[in-house]
Amino acid sequence: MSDVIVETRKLTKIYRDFWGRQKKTALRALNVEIRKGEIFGLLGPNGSGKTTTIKLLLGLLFPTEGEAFVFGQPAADVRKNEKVGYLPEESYLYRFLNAEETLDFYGRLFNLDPTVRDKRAAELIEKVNLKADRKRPLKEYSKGMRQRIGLAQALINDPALVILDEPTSGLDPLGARWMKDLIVELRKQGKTVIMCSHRLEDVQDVCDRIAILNEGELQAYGEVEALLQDVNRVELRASGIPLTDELRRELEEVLRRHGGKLDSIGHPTTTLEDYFLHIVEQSKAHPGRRYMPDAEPPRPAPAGTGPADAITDRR
Amino acid sequence: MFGALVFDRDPPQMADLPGGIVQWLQAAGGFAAFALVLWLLLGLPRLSARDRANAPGWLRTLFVLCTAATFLLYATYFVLLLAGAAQPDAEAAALGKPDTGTKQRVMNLSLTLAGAAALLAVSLPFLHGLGSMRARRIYALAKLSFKEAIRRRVLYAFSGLLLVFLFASWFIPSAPKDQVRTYVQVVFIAMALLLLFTAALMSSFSIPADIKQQTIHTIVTKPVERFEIVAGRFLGFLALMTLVLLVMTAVSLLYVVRGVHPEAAADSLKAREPLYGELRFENTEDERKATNVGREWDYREYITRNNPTTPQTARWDYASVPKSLGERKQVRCEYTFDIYRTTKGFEGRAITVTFRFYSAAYRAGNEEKFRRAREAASAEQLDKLAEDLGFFEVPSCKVEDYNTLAFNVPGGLFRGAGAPPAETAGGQKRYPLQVRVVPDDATQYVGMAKYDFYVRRDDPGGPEQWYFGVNFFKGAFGLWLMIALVIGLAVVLSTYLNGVISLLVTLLLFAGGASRDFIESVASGKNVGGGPAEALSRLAQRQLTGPRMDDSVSTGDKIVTASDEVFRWTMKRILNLIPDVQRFTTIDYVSEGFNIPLSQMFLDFLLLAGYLLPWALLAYYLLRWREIAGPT
Repeated sequence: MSDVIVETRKLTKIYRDFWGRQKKTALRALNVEIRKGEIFGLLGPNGSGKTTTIKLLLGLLFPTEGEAFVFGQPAADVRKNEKVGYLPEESYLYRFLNAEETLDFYGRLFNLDPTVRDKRAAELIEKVNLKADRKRPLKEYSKGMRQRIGLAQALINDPALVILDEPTSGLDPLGARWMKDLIVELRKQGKTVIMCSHRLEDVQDVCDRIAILNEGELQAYGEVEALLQDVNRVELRASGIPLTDELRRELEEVLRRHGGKLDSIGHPTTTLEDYFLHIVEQSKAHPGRRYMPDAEPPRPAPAGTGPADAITDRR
Repeated sequence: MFGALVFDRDPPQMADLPGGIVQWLQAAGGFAAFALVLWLLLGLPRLSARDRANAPGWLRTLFVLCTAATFLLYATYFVLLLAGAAQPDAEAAALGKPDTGTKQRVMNLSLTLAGAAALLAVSLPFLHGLGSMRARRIYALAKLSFKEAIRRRVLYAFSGLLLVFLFASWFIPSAPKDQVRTYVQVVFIAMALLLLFTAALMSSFSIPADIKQQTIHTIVTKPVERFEIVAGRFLGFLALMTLVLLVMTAVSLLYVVRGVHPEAAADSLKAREPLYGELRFENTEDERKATNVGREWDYREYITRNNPTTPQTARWDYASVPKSLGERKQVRCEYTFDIYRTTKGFEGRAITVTFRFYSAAYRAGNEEKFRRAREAASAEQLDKLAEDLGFFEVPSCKVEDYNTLAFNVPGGLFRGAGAPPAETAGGQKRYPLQVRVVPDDATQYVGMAKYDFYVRRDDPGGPEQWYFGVNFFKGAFGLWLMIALVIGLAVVLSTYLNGVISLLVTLLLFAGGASRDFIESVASGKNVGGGPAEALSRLAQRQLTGPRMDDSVSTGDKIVTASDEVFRWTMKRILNLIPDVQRFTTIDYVSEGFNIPLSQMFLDFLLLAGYLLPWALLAYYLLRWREIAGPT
């Protein structure tokens, strides 16, 4: 059995006005393949065709030319939706329903038996940390809570393919990290994930392969590592040694002997996200501690101890 | 004191059902054939080979067969039409008989079968898709609509009925004879306005709001057939409105029963079951017409005792009489006639008529035998007399304007009526029961229509107020049909149009249905003044009156009448799109105290289903072919 879950062949979408006149080419001859068990990122600036691609894959739009297949079936075929979960950019759910009713409603749309439906709904509510708020209508939820219940509805059918449109949009760093951890967990469970995002660091953190679109055209396509690797430069990291002038001179000497030169040397910096999460963790661990102007600022967590490791351990 | 029913059109009968189905197949099939042609011209060339291959083989074969049959049968129809088969047989036309020629029958059959084939061809993808639909999904969507309406506090709108309950009595006359009628009409009109408008509003905006707020994205990306969304929305709103209607009907009934004067309650809270006959006239120029006294409303025909030996007579022929009537001692008969006076008459002397009943047991000369024996006969003997002689006479029955009057006849008469018609005397068909009404006055006219006289099928002694209550709910069923119609139309239209336009088109179609009779008269050319081209031509030539243009031989007039024919053809097609709303208005039955027959309720339901089915088919394709998402 082929491990290609999604395939597009010359997928093109042209928006037309009421009179059939061409208004905008949103996507032009896109050819991509998404394989089983990978996290695939769709990147591009606004209007580049990311969301159009997702809508075409979901059958919300019909292609002007070309074809899209999901699980080997045409994208417009509703039967393929049995194995698909979709989280839209905004959590477009019925705000007069509460979390339980929402999951029950979407569970019914998948024709799930009441016992399965109830069990999964309870598990997912637990998973997205909404147990205490499960009886509140969604209109009272914060953006982050709506995004979490949105994700729960996308997973109610235990899908093999999860499509996430801007999953971390509007979430605070904690929420964004939670979401990314969950995406990684989904891959561990053998699910395929397609996500499109403006937040490049999120994509870099979790995606195995990416496609970069601009003005409807595919500009880059491949594994994140391979695409980002700068083969003309060498990075060296060391620990347990102080940074002295002597060390610098000796390193320059070694590099010169091998025909290279030292561009820079110094202490590496962590990402702001990791630093923020570390501070929040510390604050939880030491209640009452606060910022003092004269005190030494807290240092980033040593590698291998922070919450960021949930992601960095992924591969 | 009681009310009387007035029908501009005969109420539907079970016997009309086959004809109605044929008519439906021809009309709906015509639209289906039109859609089929459009698809063959515009849709088929765009269909990819993969899409074609996706359809099962049997489906494709059946579709091709149905399409071929449609075109073949329509071709047969048009060939016969051009060959002049539609012209009625000259001999039959001269005799005034309907044309039942073979060609005409073949034409009718071709048209019906072509319509059926076209409908089947168009319905095939829908029918095939039915297998993928799941009750659980439809139920989920229906429940969602239900909850949406409740949580968005739509139900508050219905508190408007309280205004009626609180203040309507200020405007309702206190005369007992009008009370029930007015109370019933006021509450039903208030309920209709509230429920229909709210139903139209909710259903018009639901799907467009889902599309606008993109909540539909999370639905159509599940394994949901798009028609399930239409069905779910329709059923959800219908369930909600049904519940509201039931509660409102119960509260309204309480309001009516408790609000009316006890005298009015005793007199008018009824649900009579009338048995109507076919009205014909004797000793007039036309058996279907009597004298036109010049009233603007020509609903009734008028008779007078113009000749003492052969007076104008109204005759009600009953093709069948229930056996149960013969088991009673007395059977109630009621009548509501109109008086047209040509003289002042005499003070203290009412206008009277004589009723004569003839059952199948009647033989010539039995009248005299009856009259001779009547004087000394007891009630039991009269009963036996009526049964044996097949004749009964009720002389000098008073007629009062706007009042329903009653008398009793012995049940024995109907025991005789149960027997099959004995003979065909003098070329005249005999009926199990015939009722003749002869005016007693030579100078006054008595006006009557088919539904002005009836035999009571029910026993007047029963718990009539209880029957009225049941009938009140039956009347609400008519309102329920209208609600279902409005919800169905609005949901279908909202699959393609935005909320405001859907609402307006729904209201327009409903309003068209309320004035359907006029549109029908224009479409069939029965209205005064001809079509628009003829009216314009007459205006231009300042000939507001004159001979009919249809009869003219002038080329100009022929062009005018031909263009009016095109207009009428278009109007007839438009007429098919307009719902027959008036059919569902059964409020008069309740307010006038007549039982609504179950058969009529069933036929009304079928009429609604027949009207909504093609719309449902349209919704299926509109939502299926629609791109749910936009560029943003």
